Amino acid sequence: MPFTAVDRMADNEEMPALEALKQRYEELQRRVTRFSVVEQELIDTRNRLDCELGRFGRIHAFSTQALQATSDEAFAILVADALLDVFELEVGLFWLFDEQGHLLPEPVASSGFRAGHVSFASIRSWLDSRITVQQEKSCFFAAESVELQQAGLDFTHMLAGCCRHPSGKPLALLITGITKAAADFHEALSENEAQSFRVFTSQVAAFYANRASAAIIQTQMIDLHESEERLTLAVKGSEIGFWDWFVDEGTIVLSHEWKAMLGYRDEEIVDNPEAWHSRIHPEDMERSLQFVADHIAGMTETYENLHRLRHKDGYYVWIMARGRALRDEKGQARRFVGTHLDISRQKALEERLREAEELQRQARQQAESASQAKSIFVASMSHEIRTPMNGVIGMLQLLQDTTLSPAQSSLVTIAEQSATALLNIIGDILDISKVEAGRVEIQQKPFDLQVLVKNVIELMCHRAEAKGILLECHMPEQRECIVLGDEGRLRQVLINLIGNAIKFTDRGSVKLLVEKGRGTIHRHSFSFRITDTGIGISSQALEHLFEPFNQGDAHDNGRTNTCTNTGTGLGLAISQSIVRLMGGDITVTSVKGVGAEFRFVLTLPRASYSKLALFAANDLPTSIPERLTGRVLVVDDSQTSRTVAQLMMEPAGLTVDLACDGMEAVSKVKKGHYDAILMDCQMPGMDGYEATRRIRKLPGKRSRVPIIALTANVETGFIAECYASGMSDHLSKPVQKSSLLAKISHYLAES
Amino acid sequence: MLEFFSASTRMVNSRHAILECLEAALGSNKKCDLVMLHASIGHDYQTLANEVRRQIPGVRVVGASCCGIVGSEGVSESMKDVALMAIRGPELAVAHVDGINGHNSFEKAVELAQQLKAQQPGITMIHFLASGIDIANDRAIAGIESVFGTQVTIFGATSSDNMRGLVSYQIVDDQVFEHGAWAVGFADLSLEVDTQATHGFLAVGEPMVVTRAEGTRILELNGRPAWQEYTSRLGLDVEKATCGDSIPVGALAEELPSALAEEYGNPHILRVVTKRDADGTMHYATTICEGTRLWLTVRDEERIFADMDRMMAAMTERANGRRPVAVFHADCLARGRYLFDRVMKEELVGRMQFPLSSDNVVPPWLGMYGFGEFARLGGVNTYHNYTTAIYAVYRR
Repeated sequence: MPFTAVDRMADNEEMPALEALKQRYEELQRRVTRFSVVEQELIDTRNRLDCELGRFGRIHAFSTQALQATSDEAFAILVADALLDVFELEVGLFWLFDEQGHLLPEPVASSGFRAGHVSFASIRSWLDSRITVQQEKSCFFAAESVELQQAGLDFTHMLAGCCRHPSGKPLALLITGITKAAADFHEALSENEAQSFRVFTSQVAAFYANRASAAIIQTQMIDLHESEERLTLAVKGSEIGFWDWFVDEGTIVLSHEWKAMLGYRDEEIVDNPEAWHSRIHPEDMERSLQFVADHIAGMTETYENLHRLRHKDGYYVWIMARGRALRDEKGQARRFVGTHLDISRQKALEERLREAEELQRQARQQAESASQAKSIFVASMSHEIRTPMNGVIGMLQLLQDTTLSPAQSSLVTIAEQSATALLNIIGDILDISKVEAGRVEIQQKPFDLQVLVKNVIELMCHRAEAKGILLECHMPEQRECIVLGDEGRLRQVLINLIGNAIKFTDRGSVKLLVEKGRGTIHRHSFSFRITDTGIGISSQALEHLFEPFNQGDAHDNGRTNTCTNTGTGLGLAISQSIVRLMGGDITVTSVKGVGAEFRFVLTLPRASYSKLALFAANDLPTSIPERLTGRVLVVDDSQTSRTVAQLMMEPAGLTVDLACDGMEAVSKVKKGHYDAILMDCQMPGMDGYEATRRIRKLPGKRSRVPIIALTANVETGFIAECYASGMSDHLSKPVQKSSLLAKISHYLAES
Repeated sequence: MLEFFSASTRMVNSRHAILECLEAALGSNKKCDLVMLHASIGHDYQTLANEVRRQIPGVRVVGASCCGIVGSEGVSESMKDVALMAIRGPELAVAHVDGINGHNSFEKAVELAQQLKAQQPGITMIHFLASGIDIANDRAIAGIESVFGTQVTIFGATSSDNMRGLVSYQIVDDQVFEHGAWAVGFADLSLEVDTQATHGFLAVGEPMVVTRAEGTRILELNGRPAWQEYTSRLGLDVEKATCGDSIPVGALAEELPSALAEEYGNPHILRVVTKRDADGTMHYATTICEGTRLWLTVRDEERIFADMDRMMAAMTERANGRRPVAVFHADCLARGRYLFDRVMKEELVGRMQFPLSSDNVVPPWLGMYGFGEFARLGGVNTYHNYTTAIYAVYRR
């Protein structure tokens, strides 16, 4: 109550004096109490001022600490803690925005939050939208704030400030506030008091932006430092010398490595272009200077110069120099920077490599020569053996045609078989020689597989019968078994495998199973299985079964690649090579004492009956007339061979004339008429080839006389040469009487 | 022989605050037997207790919530203050009870004292701390004295919040209580404690008469509901006013006998109302009888300073040249930032610390702003409000 009222009461003359005095006393007492309340309000106001001043003091303290924050994480924690320290509210959050300007799922640092406090997810979207609305202003939400209440958050009071980059991009959100649980203990800031919060927000924004810049600089510095370290290590590791030539000034900086590769210490060479120039090998001088001049003039993009520099010890070091000029805007070279790499070692290695290659080349040549010599030797040996064998076998065949006692006939048969076995050995040696030299050729001619298999079984069944074992063949009748391939080679393989099986089986049977597999539209697939109930092969021997000349189980009396009784032991190696050339692979399984099984699969191109028929038409008739008529000239330098041929043909009704070389043959053809000529190929003087060529050049019918080569060389190359020289056909020595007569018969019929 | 080490800090992170205080107080050798800590209401008390025991496994911990702290480093009344006193030595006993209130203060205090005596029969002084809300402090003193006799010196404080009168906390080891009390008994015979309290307030006007009371509850003043009469006299809105509003301006004064008034330097001892019920009942800090006259008071700044100087002079004289090995200090929360600005408050704290310092080095000091203070008056253990109470521990 104001004084005037008190005065009025005191002046009331009707009021008793004591009562008036009492009232005035009470009023005075109220004034004193009121004074205390007002005084308290003043104290509170002063306290608020103190608090505000204190906030700025603490913001200052924060700034000092923030400058020393060693990591972003430490900075974030510092900010969150400072929010509580400065504004003395319950919670503090430091929440970053992503690149798109949205808050990350959770704040990076929080302070004052306890278990059960609000979930960050619940306020994130709300804050996101508020920040967008508020733009650059701080957001102030008092307990009675409609926005805060409508958001349904647990906060009774909140201050949110957005830290922005100078460009306006939001960086981080600062939040401090009071939750409902702690509302009674915290004094909410008034909007006026939020000024310090705005200051704090802008302070944090500046620090954060600076940190980002500082972080970039720091990262770049670290990268640069690491790069320098890497370069230094690389340079030391690679021993590359550097040079940096300041073209205008004529000065140069030469690195420690540059000097060291020439044997000098740093102080022993003055950094001067002359240091390089004076050490160039005289032979490299002109070229080196030209390279430098060209590059300085801009004629080359890079400078590269392989040249020699003189070492301190007097010898020359091979240096690969590479460099590039740094040019000004006019293209004028200002600096010329590059490297020197000592490649003397590489040069020495190159030289040694070249020497090694030369040695290798010579060795290869020698090997090839040796191989060729071997092939020639083998072929020659084959020829030289076949020629007398022709006499032996021919004579034996002729002997069989005479009247012999059974005992004599048996002896002749054995002699003939032995001679044939010897020929087989020669054939194997020739084959393996071809295999090793890679000269085996697989022909592609149509044949009927079923017929082939049938023939092989017919051929081998005699051997099986002789040993008292059963030879079985299972090959389902096939409508389409005409394939393209090397019938002869496949026959060779089957005979070898079946022959081996018979050889190592004393009881039971040998089976050939041929099955048609799943082919394609262009190819047939056949699997071949040859099983026996023989002695089997040990696992140890299996590993080396297909190696030539392997002794395998020989010592334990088992089945071997090399038969100790007969054969060369090359058969399996040859067979494997042939099958592989045909695209297959022979595999074998065996149980010792039980038997063995050899398998391979061949996929062969399909062929038609018409094609088969076409080839078959060229084949000779298998039947020979009982009586032949005609004149045949036999040309051979071997008396024996001439005699054998004569004795084989004359009994058949043919008139045989003889010539001992090519020259004589040509002479006889010029003079007389012949229905066919049997021509040996290799003869002293004029050989068979030349004689044929000359005969073919003769006028009239003489030039068209059928000439059948009779050669001990069975290799494809020799046979091809026969045809090339003009011969009509060929027969191999030793010649079979039946083959000879069939061939002669064929050509007589033609003529 | 007990040794004392103190430290205080203002720090947001509770764990870091403890770590920093322990390192500042004890250095690298953290071994000690008891840590007494005070922390303002913004801290998590469980975290504080756990961190002390994590740092010093097995150590006993007692503590209290408060409105601010005073340490040898100075004064702070933020929401994030921590102060502690670490004590080394075997001559200690620690006891606690839970569920103490205005009706059972005596019994609980007896229980507490008996626990102490069972541990250390030779206890000569007791640091007592109880919840500052709903307690009969005079009955608590009586309960302790019933076990140890009236010669034992009881000093200490009652815990508080930041003057809201809502809740206060007490820490014992790894537990946090809301209505607990703890006591630390000192049995080091080489030590003695000198206690004194001062307020500097003036009673004004006609007293209000307690016309109805039960224990520590004042139901009526001057025949009216107590809170209505009280706030009316203070000029506060009876409905809206809280204890937080009334505490700074509403110190109630009880008249002291003339002999005590002389020692106290004031004819009145002050009391605080820490809580009020919806029916207008006010929670008093001690037992109160009907017929007691209660004056409102006003603060007199000059007198507050003068009385502080007078108290410190008396204590210095009694110290007889000795410097304390440690000082415990309880201050009324109404005497902190709610009474003085920062400069004056620091000046006042300086005036109490300087006389007890040696070469400007403040002895280990643990002070807090709470609801009440215990200090001897007229040779008797007494509960005070609105005072600064200093407990200087000396080596005999």
